[in-house]
Amino acid sequence: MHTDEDLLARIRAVRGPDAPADPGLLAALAGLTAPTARRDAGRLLANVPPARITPEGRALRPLRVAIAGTFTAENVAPLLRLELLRSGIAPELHVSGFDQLLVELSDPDSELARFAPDVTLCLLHDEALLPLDWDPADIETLSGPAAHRLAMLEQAVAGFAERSTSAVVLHTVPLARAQQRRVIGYAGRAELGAAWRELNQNLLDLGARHPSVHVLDFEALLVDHPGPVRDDRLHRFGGIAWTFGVEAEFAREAAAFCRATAGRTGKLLVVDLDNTLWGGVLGDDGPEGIQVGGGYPGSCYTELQRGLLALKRQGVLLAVCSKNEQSAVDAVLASHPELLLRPDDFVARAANWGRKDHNIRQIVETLNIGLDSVVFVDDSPFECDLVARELPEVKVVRLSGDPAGHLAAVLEPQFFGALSTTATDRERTGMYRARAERADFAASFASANDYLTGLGLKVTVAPADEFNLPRLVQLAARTNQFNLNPGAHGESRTREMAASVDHAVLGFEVSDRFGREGWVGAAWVAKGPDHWLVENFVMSCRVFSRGVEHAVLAHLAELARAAGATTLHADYRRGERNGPAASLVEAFAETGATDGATDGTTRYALDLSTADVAVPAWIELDRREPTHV
Amino acid sequence: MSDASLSDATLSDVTGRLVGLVEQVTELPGLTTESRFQNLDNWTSLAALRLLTDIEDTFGVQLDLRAYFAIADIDQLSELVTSALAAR
Repeated sequence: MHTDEDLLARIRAVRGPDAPADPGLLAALAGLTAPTARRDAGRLLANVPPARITPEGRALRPLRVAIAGTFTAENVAPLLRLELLRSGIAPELHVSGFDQLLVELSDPDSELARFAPDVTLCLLHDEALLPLDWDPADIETLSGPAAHRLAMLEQAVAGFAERSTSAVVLHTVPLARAQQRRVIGYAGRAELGAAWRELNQNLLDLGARHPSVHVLDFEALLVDHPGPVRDDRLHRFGGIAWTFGVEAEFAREAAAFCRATAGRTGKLLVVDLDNTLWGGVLGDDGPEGIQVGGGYPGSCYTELQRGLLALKRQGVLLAVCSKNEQSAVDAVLASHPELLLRPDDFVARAANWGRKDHNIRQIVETLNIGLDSVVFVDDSPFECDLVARELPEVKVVRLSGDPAGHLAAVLEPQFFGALSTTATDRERTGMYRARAERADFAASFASANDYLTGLGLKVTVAPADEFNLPRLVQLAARTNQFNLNPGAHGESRTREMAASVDHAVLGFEVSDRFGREGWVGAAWVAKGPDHWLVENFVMSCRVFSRGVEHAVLAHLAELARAAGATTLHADYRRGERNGPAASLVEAFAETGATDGATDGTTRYALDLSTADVAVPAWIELDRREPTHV
Repeated sequence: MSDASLSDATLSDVTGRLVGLVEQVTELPGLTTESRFQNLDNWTSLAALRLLTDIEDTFGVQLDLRAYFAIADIDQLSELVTSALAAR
């Protein structure tokens, strides 16, 4: 609520003729939450030049939209204005007065005709089609005159469409409850229902008969609308046929149509994998451990995939952008029995440990499409925030909460609207895939500093104690990716080491401005007089690529130096999945196989007298003193 | 807290919120409880209905339109809303 008021105040500040520009305001409008605040914002923005609230160099697409109704429809205008501005469209709106629809459509010299709209929204209500007095005992007395009125509407619409270049939008119409209740017999009510459906059916057919006419199935959408369609007081007093909530619902649908008309729609959906396309983490849980298919919650991810497949069949391109090993991703997509989406369904598959904004840029450049036609779907607030900040043109869908809601979260904003889809849309993925086939998606980790600095990363390192030890042991057991020595340190060994003066077990916690991640990793260290040895180091994939391991390493080097050691060793047993752990020893020198090791463990060494291992500038390191257990 | 002071507190709270809502709908800052609706710039029947929707939304009440349109200023509006709140 507080933010809504702040935003409305910002809008008021740009209203005067000489008001200063606020280039960040357009993007900030996405933060408006309360429906009434959205309406007020739309009203306040009526005479504000869009350039004043838009960043330098970003032009909004102008669009002339007329709103004409069989009732008082002017409340829709502010809601529509806000929706359109938020979609990157600068609308010029024309609103016809009470019940002026037929007059405005028919008169070649009407205000509507002279306005020369790009889109003409025709708002209808039941009483415009119903005769005032119909006989509940004879539904023919309703259906006959109603069909006649619809024919008149069609004639007016067709005439207007012929004279104008405008797209004309009609919609199906809900029948007021009071009308249905007039009939007391159940057979009669069924007959009424059938007659009303036939009218709506005829409305829907208008789109097929007249090329520039489009019909929204609004009645079907209202089935899910919370609350009544009509407030009889507003209807009788002011000729307002819809409640505020229905006006807002219509404005959303109309705005989506306008986006499709203006070509402001998504072409490419970039999707994360772990906890997005399937439940769980591929690198940690393995292909057999991820959730997809079967019962809940796997079925939710299957449903999301089915939805994405439907988008693909209508010409939307799909791409993967995931922090994962490319080979593991390719293998699971090709062979997991429950996955619906297969490698060929994607135009690009970027699975690496680089920054997602870099990956998306690379994909978009390879495909040669605009960033503003990209929709990015991910469950991580970190990734979503990074992409939203670095690539403001990209639409970001953050999945959160119950996976049963994920598909709706992707589809409901209607980023992918199209006036119609054609046979070539089915082939689009194949055409674009050829362009991306040879691209190697290896986004860099570099120059993340500017973003990471703003993240407020804090790493707390503390010796293992009674409270965190079970969690550290669990991390060692469950972490498959960032793990120097998988399976090596169970509970008893960890307790032994934590209690020994010649060893140390250090856990670390991470927090940032999104909140606390809790205990995310640990190091198991043997303290020799000259050499300290990192026997194991594990870190959860949730905090990869943020420099956390380097902060902890800097801390270990500092402790070792203070204790008089000259070298820091680390043993790394590289296996199939723990490639990411190589990041820890990248500054170390490889010294060959560890003495006596036959399992492929390699020893790495860091010369503490010359090595420069520092805590990354964007991390605040909190060193906790050992407490005696 | 006695009953009298409780109802005083509730009343002034209702009035304060109503002043805010009217200011928002009319875009006129600095209104008083005696400001007469008829004399306000931007006061149209649609603005009046928008205010009605906002009041009903904010307070969770339904007002009788006849009584609502008979009202001249925010003081009287406050009385109407308060009695609607009491009747809930």
